[in-house]
Amino acid sequence: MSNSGDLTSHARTRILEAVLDAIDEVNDQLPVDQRIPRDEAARLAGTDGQLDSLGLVNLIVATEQKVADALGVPIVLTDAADLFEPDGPGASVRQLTDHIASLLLRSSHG
Amino acid sequence: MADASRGLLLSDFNIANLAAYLRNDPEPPLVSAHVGPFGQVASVAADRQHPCWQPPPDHVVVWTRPETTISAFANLVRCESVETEAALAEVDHYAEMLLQLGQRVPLVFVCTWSADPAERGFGMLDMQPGIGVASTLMRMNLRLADRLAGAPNIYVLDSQRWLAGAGARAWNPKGWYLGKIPFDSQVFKTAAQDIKAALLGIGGRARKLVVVDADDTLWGGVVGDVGWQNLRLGGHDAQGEAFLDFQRRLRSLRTRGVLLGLVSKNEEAVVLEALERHPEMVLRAPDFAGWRINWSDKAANIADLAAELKLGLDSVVFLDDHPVERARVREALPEVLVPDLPADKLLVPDVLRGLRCFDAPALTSEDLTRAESYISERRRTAARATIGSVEDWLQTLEMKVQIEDMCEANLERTAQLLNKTNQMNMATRRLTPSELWSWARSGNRRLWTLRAADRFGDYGLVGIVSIEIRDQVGHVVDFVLSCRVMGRQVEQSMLHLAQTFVVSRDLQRLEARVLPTTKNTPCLRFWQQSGWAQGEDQSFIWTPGDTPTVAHGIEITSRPALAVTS
Repeated sequence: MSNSGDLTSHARTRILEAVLDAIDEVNDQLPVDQRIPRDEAARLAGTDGQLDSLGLVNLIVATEQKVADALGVPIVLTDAADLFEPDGPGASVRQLTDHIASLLLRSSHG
Repeated sequence: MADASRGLLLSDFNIANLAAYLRNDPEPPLVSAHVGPFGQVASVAADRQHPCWQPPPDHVVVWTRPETTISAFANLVRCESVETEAALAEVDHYAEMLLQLGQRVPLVFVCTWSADPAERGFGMLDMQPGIGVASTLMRMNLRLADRLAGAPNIYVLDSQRWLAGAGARAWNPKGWYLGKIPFDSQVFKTAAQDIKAALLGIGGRARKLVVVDADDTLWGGVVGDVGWQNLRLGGHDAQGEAFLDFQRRLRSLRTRGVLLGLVSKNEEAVVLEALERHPEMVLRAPDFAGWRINWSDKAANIADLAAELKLGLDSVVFLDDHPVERARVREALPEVLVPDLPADKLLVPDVLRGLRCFDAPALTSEDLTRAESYISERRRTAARATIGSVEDWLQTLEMKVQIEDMCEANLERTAQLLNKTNQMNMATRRLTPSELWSWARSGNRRLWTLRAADRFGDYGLVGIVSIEIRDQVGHVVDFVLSCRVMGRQVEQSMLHLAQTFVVSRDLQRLEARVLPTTKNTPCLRFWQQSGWAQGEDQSFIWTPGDTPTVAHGIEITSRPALAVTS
C-alpha cells in the first residue's frame, strides 16, 4: 500500500476521506474547469498541479481542520517546507494522505 | 457571464476567497467578482483612473480590518491609552471616503469591522466606555452605520454575524500568517450568500409570499383527526412552543410586508375553525392573503393562489413538513423556493429565521401595509361578484389617483416599484434609487409617481410615468403600474397625464415604445388598445389634436410642489 507503516487501512481511509473533504471545500472556491478531481492520483502541486498559492494555503488550512475533525488529532502540515514541491510530500492526493499518515504515526509513537 | 453583476472587492486583507464564492455560485444573481489591489482601499477609492474601475463595477464591496483602518484602534489593541473621540473622528473620515465612493458607483456594500474573538482586550474592563477594545469597536461600527445611513445606495453589512456563524474557527490565524486571509472559508461563504441576497433584493427579486401547510407545519397534529382542541400549539410542551414560535416568525414576516398564504389538504371549514378558535393561535384567517384548503394537488393550489394574488411563482416560498409534498412542488413549480424542513420540529423555526430570500433594500410604508391591502382586495372581489358590468363595478370603487413628482420621500418606493414590476412595465428598466434619482434630475426629463386609493383602502404608490424631451418630442421612458390596480382605469389616467404635459409644453407629439419581455405582454396589449397610433417595433404615437385619453370614474389630483425637476 503506502509508506504509512503500520497504520491500519481503516485509519488511512479516514485520512483520505478527510483530504478529499478538504479538496471539496477548496473546489468550491475554484472555477468548474479548474477543480481538483476527487481522486487519489490527482496532482496538487508542480507544473501539472491545479492550485495556485492561494489554493494551496486554503488546502493546507482545510486539510488540517478536516483531519483534526475526523481523527481527533491535530496535525501541522506547514512544518514541511517542501510540502508542495513537485516531489514534495503533498504533490498529489495520495502523497499527501501518506504524509499525514506518517505524521500521525510519528505522533502516536511519541 | 454576460448578465452578471460586476463587483469590485476592496480590502486590506486577502479577499480572494470571497470573490471566489461570489463568482462560483451558479444561483442568481450571477456575480463577476474582481479583487482590487491589496491594502489600497482609500487610494483606489479616490483614484478614478485606476484600472480596476474599468469597466465600471455595478457594485463595490469594502471590507477592512479595524486595526489597519483606524490608527487609534490599533493603539488601543496595543493597550495604549486612546480617546474614543479620536477613533470616532477617524471613522468619520473613513465614512466620508465611502460616501464619495457612493456618489460614483451604483451600489456599495460596507462590511462592519470585527475583532478576533480571542482578543480579550482589557478583560473585565473591555466593555467599559473609553477603555475597552470591544466597547470602542461597537461604537466605531455604530458611528460608521450612522454616518452612512443617509446614502440610499450604501448598505452596511454585519460581518460579526458571519463570524458567529462560523463558530470557533471563524478567525483563521493559519490563513492569516500563510496568506493574509483572516477568516475561515465559512465566513466568506456566508458573506457571499448575504451579498447575493442583497443584490437579489435590490434587483426587486425578494420573495413576497410564503405559502404554508397547516398540519404538522403550522401546528402539531392532524386537525381533521384530533380536532382543534388537541393540536400541539403553545402550552407547556416543547413542540407546541416551537410551533408557536414558527407562527410568530411568520407573523413577523407579514409585518415586514411578506404575504402569507395557506395551502392544506383538509376540509376548509375544519382549518378555518382551528384558526378562529384555538386560544393560542398566533395567525388567524385575516393574517393570510389567501388560502386553498381542499384535497387537490398542492402545486396546482399554490399556482392558483399566486395567480390570485397577482404574483409570479418566483415570488413564492413554500413550507411543508412533508418531504413528498416538497418534492412534488419542487418538480412541478421549479421557480418556487422550497426549503427543506428538519424532521425535528424544535429546529423548524430556525429555518424560517435563516432564509435570506426576503431581504429588501428598504421598508416602505407600502411594504408595511401590504397584507392589509390584500384583505381590502378580497373585499373588492366580493363586491365585484354582486355587481353587473365591470364598468359599473369600477364606478362603485370611487377610485382616486394622486400624482406627485418623485421626491426624497417616495424615492425608495418608486425605485422598488420600478424594479419589481414586470407585467405593466414598458421598458423594464432596473435602477438603484440613486441611479433613478440622478436620471430624473436631468432638466429634459420628468418623472411622476401615482398613488391610488378607493373606498376599500389605500393602494399606496402604484404607478410611474417618465418622459424625456428630445427635439420637441416627448418620449415616454417608463410606464409602470402595479398589477394590483391594473384594469381599473389608472392606466388611462397615466396616459392622460402624459398628454396633458405634452400639451402644456407645446411639444409636437408623444412617442412610446414597448420593449417586449417574456412578462410584459399585458403592457403591450394595453398600448395596442390605447387608441394611440401604432408605429413600427411596438411604438405608439399621440399628437395633440388626437382624441385625448379619458380615465372614467377616476378623481385625479396632483401635488406638484414636490417637483425634483424644473
